[in-house]
Amino acid sequence: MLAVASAKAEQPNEKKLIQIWLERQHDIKSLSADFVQTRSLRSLQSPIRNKGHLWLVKPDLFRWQLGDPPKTVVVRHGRNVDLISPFKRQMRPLDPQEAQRQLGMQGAAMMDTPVAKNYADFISRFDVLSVQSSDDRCEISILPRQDDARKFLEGISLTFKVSDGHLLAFGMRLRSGAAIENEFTQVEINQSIPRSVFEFPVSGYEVLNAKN
Amino acid sequence: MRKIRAAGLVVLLLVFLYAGLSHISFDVDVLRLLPTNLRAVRGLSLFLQHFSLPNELIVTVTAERAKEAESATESIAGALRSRNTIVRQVVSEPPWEKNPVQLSEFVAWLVLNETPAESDALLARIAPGQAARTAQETLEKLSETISPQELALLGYDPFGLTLPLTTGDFFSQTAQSEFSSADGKFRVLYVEGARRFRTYRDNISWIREIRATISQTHLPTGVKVGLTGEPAFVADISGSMQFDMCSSGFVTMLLIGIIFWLCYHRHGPLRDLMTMLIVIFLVSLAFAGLFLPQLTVIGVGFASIMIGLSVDYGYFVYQRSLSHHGSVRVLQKDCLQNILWTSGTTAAAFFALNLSSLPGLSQLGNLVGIGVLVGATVMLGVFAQIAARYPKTDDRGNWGKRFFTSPGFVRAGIWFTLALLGIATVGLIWKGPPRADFSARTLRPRKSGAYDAMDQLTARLTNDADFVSLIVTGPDDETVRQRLEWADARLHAAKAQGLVTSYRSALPLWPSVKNQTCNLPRLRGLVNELPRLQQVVLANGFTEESLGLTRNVFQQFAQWGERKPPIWPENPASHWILRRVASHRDAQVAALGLLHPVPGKHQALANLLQGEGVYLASWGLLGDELLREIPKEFLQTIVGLVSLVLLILAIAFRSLRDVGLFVGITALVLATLAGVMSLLGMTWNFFNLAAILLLLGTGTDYSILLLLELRRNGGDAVAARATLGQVIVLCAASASAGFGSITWANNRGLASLGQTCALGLVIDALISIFLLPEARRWLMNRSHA
Repeated sequence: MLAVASAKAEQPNEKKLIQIWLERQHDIKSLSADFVQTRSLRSLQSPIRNKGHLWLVKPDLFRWQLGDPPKTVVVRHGRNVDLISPFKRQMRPLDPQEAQRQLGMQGAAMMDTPVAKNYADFISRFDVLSVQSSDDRCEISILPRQDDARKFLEGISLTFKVSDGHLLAFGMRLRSGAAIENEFTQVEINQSIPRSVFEFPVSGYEVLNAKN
Repeated sequence: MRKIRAAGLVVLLLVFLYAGLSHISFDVDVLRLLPTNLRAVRGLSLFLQHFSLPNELIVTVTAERAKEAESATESIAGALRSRNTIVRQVVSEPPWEKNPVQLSEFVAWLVLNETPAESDALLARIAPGQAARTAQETLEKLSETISPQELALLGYDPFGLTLPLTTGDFFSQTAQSEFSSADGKFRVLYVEGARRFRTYRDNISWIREIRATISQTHLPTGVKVGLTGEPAFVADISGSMQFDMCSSGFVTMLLIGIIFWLCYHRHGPLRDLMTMLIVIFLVSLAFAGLFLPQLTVIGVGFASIMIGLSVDYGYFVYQRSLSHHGSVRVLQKDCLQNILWTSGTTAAAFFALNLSSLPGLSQLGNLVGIGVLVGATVMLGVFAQIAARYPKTDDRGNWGKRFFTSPGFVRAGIWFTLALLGIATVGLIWKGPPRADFSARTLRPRKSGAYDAMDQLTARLTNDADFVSLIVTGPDDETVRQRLEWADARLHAAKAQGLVTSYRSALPLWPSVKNQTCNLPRLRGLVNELPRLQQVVLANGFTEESLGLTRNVFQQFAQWGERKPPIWPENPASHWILRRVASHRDAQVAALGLLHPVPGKHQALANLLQGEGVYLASWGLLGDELLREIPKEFLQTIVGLVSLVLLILAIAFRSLRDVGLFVGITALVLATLAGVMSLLGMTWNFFNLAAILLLLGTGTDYSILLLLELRRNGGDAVAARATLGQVIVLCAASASAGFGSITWANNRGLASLGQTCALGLVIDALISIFLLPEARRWLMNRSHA
């Protein structure tokens, strides 16, 4: 089935759709968006819903927060990435690669936009499972080629507007049966974002090491 | 009657050969060659004894694309699983990945090992007044976490039983997969044999069957399969040892045959001499099979060395037989004294290798010593009877006499030898003495698919070859735990002192009898709390499915019930996790950890961790320790051997000048050898240092024989060369052929031993024949003047 889907992805129209999305990402200098994240687990009677927001200024300023008021915040300044828990007043520096991997799973893959340099780079990093489009909406279903991600991932879905390439939704299905869906709203591209957004006050916070 | 007796002897010989040859076995463990008193040797030996997994073959699959590697791995796993007569199990992913329930025994065991305080905390978390709050906290974590693993785990663990699994040091450092590289293009299968391998031949035939099964899967081109792990190493190295031993023996006999033909041009004696050498080879091999438990890689070289030395007695008997006109018994008596003396001293020199504490060297000494005595007996007892019947009117053997006494040849020989000395001196001045190389490289085979696959596995899966294993042993689990605690404190200090960058001790996983004894009675009744806890989870937003892990863990506590600590988990998942952490074998318990020393701090770390039952094991550490200890060890043996030789010579010569001349000549031989080695880029290693001992034992015969002859004939160099020149050339050529034939051995160390000995013998023969008589004449003239 994967082979058929991959073969399908190589059809000119579908390739073009992915290329459009990738090219649009190159135009992004800054981004601000609200999102609603839904976590569905087989072990829970009902899904967990959280509001969140993300801000991004290229090349290396990023803030992603979950909860309103925020319960989990990730802030990036250059190579430094911190995981902050405001309720617990704790802060933990993250390894940038690990942060990218974990946040990618949460729908914040754009921490390092663009996700891929071009179509060839994209194909070298992801298996394309399916590409579906209707009207101005396109949904790409992919699976990372990296083996450690495939261990617990069944698939990732990206939904975007074909006309401007804006991301509308991001979802992932885990092998454990869990699923995470992110619906983006109020997406603002290339608007001015004050630097203070990326300076989360952590004075008096307990700093945990990576092991904790 | 004589015929019956002869037939009886032949039958006895055949029975002996069969019994001996069928018992030959190889020990592929190079550590058996090294002194066991060295801590690095002991550490590596313990690692192999406890954690090398003799029945586990590792199959590596490499492809251009991850998908190709994945499907090739699945095909191979399927094909191997269908061969249940030869394969017990094939593991291609962690056992709990397809069946996570299997992990519950391990989780239960981790909880059982916790301190009573941690156990109290768990009991408090599930207590009637607290359980609902705990479930709510878990729900909160599930909504906050950014880790997909935590999301997957906590959903099935509302009461935090997996806390020791996620917070323990051990698991925080084991993110590396044992099954696949990050890009998925390199995959690994672990294949367990259906039966134990009794001999190396079993091993070789099993590997052959595995290869045949894999080849039937018709993998696409570009997919490469490698075999490694203990069975592959044994098959690979034993196979090459067997080939090296047989091929070097054959090549030596061929070269000896050519040398004999060039000297004598006679078919009959050549045929008989070759037959004798084959008999000596087989009888010595049968001796080795019967009386030595296992041949090591250095012992394998014995066959060709022994043939090269034994043939000397054949030459001597044959040479005497040409001018002998008496009975067989008289010929035997005529040769007895000389053969007894030379074979006795050669065998004594080789047996003297037992003075060394190096087991490999002792084995080589014993094998060659036995072989030389067998050779002398066969040549004197059997070949002399045959040789006595050869025609006597033969002058062809005397061409050598004329050749070796011709002034042109002697002049050319002297100039050639002096030129060689000059070149060697330039080599020594220009490049210095050969450097020492005691790295693991010299202990490895030149070509080995198993080593290549292991190198690839280390590079692709761990990307880190510079680690050191920490082995902690003891008679029981509790002693090992105490030693692990001791080592852990030292490792903590080592990290503070900047000696290690990181370490992973087995301590977090090691059972504590005290903790288990305290925890088990409190945990085994938890199974009765399950109905209450089920109500709690259902009332707090979880489904019944969420309690699966908790239920299994509590049932496991109940199953352990009245068992007496220490308790170890036993299911396949637990076994898989612990197989490279803990071992109970041969009435000994061992724990395995891993360290990453700061470069250049290996020795300081080894010194810090010198405690009872605590060993560091790595090939790098072994190389350092060998470099420190082996030259000392060899020096002691050399001093012992030289003293023995000098004592014998002092009695034989009763002349300080001749003894001094012998010492000077021997020193010149060794210096020339060192110079030539430097020029050729050769290094001293653990194996070829033995060449010095062998040269002292065999090569010095040439100068001793010449000195004796010169003393006998009043210092007539021409007459001495006429008598001994041809014999020394024949002996040196044969012995060099013997040593030279192992130059192409698959083991680098053994090959270097062959090269160094062959080179040394040629230099020894040249200096003895051409320079020794001249030097003695010059000394005599000086003293007369």
